[in-house]
Amino acid sequence: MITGQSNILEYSNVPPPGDDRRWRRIKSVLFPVLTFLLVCGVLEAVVRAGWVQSFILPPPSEVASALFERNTDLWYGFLQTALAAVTGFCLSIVLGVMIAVVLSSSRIAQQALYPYAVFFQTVPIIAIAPMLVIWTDTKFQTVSIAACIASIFPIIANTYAGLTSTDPALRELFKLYGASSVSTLVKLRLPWALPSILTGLRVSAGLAIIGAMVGEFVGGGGLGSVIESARTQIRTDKVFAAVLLASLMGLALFTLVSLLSRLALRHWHPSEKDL
Amino acid sequence: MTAINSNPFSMPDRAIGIEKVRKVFDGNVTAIDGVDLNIPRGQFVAFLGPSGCGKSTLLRMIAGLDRPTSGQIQREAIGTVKRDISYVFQDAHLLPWRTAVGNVMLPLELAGVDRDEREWHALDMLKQVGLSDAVNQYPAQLSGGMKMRVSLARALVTTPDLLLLDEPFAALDEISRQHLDERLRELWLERHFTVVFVTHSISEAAYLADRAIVFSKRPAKVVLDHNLSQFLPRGRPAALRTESIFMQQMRLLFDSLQSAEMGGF
Repeated sequence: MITGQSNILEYSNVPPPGDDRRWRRIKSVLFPVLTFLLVCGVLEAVVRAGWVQSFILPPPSEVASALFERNTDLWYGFLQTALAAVTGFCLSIVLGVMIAVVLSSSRIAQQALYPYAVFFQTVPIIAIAPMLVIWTDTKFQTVSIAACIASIFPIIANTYAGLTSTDPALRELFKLYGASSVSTLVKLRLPWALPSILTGLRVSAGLAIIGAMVGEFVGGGGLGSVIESARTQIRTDKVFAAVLLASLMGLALFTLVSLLSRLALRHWHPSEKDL
Repeated sequence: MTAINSNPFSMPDRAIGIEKVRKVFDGNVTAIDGVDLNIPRGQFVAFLGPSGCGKSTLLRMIAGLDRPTSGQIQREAIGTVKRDISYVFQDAHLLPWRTAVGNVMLPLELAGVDRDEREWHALDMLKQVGLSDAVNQYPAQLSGGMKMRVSLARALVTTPDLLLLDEPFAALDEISRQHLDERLRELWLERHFTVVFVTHSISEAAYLADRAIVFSKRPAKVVLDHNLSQFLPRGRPAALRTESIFMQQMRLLFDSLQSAEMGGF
């Protein structure tokens, strides 16, 4: 009897699997938030105690109030940067996938062009940006093209890798069924490459925002200009607020791509296991 | 106009004619060394041989996926339209982003059959391979045997004149494999297409085929061309595998395969 009871007690110590999972999910949000609050608290205390001057390191409370200041160019700059970065990102998706399709469709095109695609990636965007200002008519064009140039290479490289790794047996099957090269591309090679394309997009999402801000520092407009002018006015709190917004923008774009990836792949690809 | 009298089963309505075919890979590896074969329309032929002997290479050449180094392979005229040939690989090779029915519809889609019609044919074919309740499942949700059934349904949905199978059920467990063998034989009896089935399993070859061709180890030559249908019934119940006439046929193929493995005749 006694041993039986102690067995029951042991089992009741193990929490049911549902609770365990919920607690793990709460912890995965709670701990990062606690870290954030702790770091903010320390920074606030360090500045309030007068150990560091606030124009060198603004306390989190000032950054927060700069974020919600009235009549400010901060949120307008945020929208400008977001619009240009997203435009450039979309442009690099369309162009990048098209270039990869051309590269993967012909051996000659691959040999003639791929080295330049690689070379193009090594040219620093900051060095091309001044030329972009000369070549384009508006700030919006400069910034979105800079975002496109900065983010296109991972899309080309990943799409190309995906397009050239199609299952050879399936290619032969399409050949046996007399499929045209267009329907082989649409029904086999592009869907096969989709997981790789989405990996490229995840990397590129952040790069598009970096490219946009580089374009803004050189050509003006958006968060780039906000940071530049706030810096000259020694409004360090505003600089930090702008940096925070830029990071959040990158995070939002990355989340959007991840969401898309999950929607597109959940039924069939192991990277989005939902089976 | 070459003579085809060297073959005991030669008929005027041959589906496949193979003449003096040789295949040499990358300079000096000879995979196939002078094979002559005639396969009449509607016959179920098994290619049996040691693994790596070149029987799959011969099948690929029949499909037109590879070219012989010398010699020629002819297919009967109605087999020249590409979708009249179907090919089943060793693994299912399904499109993972399509459901079972989506995969089976693919060959009809590529042939330009309209949506309602191809869906009807695909659902019918899935029913015939016993997958009616899995039509909307994705390949990742299916077992190995079920995937292979989808693959077989995809191959048969175009009602091909020629079905080529390259060790299709080799990766499956014994029971699934026997079920699929039985179903394939039944479908063949209903429809009378020509089948070339590559296998290294003696029992599978003996159970399925009307004619077993045993190849030597590389370079492949025909060691035995045996008419099974003289000894085994047309309809083949599962229990046939345990009967003595079946055992005798297996013994015959086994002995021939043994000598093929040794390299002698």
